[in-house]
Amino acid sequence: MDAEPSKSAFQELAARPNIEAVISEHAEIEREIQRRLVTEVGLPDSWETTDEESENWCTGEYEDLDAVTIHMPNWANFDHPIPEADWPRALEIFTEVMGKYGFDMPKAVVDRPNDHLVSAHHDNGAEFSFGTKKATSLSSVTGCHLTERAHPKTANGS
Amino acid sequence: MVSWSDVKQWNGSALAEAIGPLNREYNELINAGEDLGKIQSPDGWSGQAAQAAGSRCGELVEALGEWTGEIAAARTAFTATSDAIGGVKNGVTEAEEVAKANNFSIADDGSIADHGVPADTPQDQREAVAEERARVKTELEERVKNVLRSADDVDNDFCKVLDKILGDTVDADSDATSLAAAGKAGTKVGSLTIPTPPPLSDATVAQNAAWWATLSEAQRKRFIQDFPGQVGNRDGIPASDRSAANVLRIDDERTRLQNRIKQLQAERREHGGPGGVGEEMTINRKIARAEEKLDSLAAVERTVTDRHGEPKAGKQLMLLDTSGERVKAAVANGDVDKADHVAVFTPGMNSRVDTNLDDYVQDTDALKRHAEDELTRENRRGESVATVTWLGYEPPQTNPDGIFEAVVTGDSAEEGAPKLAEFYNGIDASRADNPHMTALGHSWGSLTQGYALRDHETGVDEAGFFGSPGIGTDSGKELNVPENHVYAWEAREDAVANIPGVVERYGKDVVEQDGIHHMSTEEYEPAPGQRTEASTGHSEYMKSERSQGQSSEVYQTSEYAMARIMIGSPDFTPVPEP
Repeated sequence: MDAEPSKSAFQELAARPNIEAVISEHAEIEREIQRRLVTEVGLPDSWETTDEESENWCTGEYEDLDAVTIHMPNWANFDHPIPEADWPRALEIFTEVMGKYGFDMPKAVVDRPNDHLVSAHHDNGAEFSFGTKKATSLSSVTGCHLTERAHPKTANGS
Repeated sequence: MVSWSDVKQWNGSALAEAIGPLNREYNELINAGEDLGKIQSPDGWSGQAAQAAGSRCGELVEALGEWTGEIAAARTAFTATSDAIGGVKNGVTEAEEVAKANNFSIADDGSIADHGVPADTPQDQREAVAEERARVKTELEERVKNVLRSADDVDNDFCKVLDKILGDTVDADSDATSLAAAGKAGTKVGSLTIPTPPPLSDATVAQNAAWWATLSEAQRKRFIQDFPGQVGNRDGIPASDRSAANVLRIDDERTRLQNRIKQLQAERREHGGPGGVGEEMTINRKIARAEEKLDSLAAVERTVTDRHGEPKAGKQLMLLDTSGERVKAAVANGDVDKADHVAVFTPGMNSRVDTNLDDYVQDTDALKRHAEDELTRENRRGESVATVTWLGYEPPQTNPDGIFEAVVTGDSAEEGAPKLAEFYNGIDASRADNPHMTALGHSWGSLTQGYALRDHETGVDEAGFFGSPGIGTDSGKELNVPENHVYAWEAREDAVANIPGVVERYGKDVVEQDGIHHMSTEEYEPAPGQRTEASTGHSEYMKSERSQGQSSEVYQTSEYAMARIMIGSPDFTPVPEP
């Protein structure tokens, strides 16, 4: 706790967008996936959130920086699983959107008929999870990002 | 003596309705007193008649003094009693809900009627349910006792005020010289006492829950504000109330520690010079310990404060204890008072509030998110999850040289176990319904958890152990957890789970015990090119890659399995290689 944060840790985070921008980006990504599932897979657009945004201060080498990670509110599409025949296309959509925003190829957590869960990761520590069984789920957590006040591009005069 | 059937009939609304008219009456009297004061000696009027009129006015004002005091006492007592009846009735409702949910009922005389283990209880769970019901019965007896004690207090306090009003003695002890002062004296007479809490050090969770249940909302708020130290760490009180109290305590605790450091520094100056070296070293150690505690407080504050400096939504500070060698704390993600599924994670050796709490709260937040995704995938709308990191004990710390030297005695696990059991029971007792509760223990935390579940009856429904040096049993069946609801993970290259001479000391190697599901930590390849992450080593069951300084989320086999267990729908695929 007493150790001064390293300059390189700050510089690394300063090269990333601030957390408010990333929250908006995650919301945009989620909406993009949801919209494409509606138009290309025919999943009804009845997504709802099941919890609230949750915030944690960064740990490890970023621990003493004014930086946080955010668990975005979880999304649920109750009563609407993705039919098995449509899962490959749904996974393609998820993979494409993830790739567009710099995430790795999704990895399977569960992959059985009518029971799928995948998870995609970003070098900055962010993760998206997407799955379907009796209903469809989509959730994400951001990586570690400076707050607006700490970020060189948005901090007022500092 | 008030009976259970009396209390069930109590209704504070008639008292509440009388408060408005009493207020009006009081204000009229005060105005009349002021008018009388003005006409007591009108300008330009003198002589015997003027003196007589003035004297009569004075008598009237004096007579109104008792009356004003009585009305002030009545309106204060009516307000407080109506409020307190609300608390007592809340205690009745909670007790009856607990009784109903567990197949008991409360008779008119307050005795508990046991209607037996519910007929639809599966055969393999009957024994565990019977044990759980014995605990609930004790809790119910405490709840009834506390409700009746509070009801007696309210009844006695209210009767005392009414006696004073009827006996015209409200203003008797007052030397009030105005109606307003008489009113103040009456307000003092009309105040009721708040039921005294059970002793902080040795009250049972049932006693704590029962006491808190009988307080009104207003009384609870007053207690949290005025005596947060009496509320924050009391197992059996709702998490939201504990958290409100503990957050209030942070500043006071910081000031206390800062003063302690100043005092020690002054002592050190006195002991300076030859001959004082030993003493100085002792003082230095004390200062270092207090500074470490200050760091821990800062870590706790950070955990529950958001980037805007506001209390973090969805976090509850359920424990803050600065006594002993190190600070103890428990932080929840989600709402422990309302969640359908609550998981309590107990970290292991080398865990400290100042250095690890943030990490654990983040790990358990991820677990909450994964478990809620699983609820969604199962189409279980409306169910929710809360996860708690419980660092309410002082796990052993390894020294820099002898890696496992400090781990050969299990004292802190044995000391921590009863506290952990109380914490589990406190969550159950604070709620009318019992949440589906999962205990997750890592490393030394799994040993502490093992002792807690072996030696105590708790409301824990599922128990998971990972990276364990032992759990104090030779068979999972020794744990007071429903049969077939115990799980263990042991990753490749986990040295702690295989310390020679230590594992045997704390029971059989956990993955060799019967009555325990041995869960996979291996990667899982469901299709070419797709695979889950294996967890390796001692500290990657819930989170990985932190060793690289990168707070990276990689969803692992063990996390998925824990998420499924937490929602009561374990998934045993994939299984470990035979």
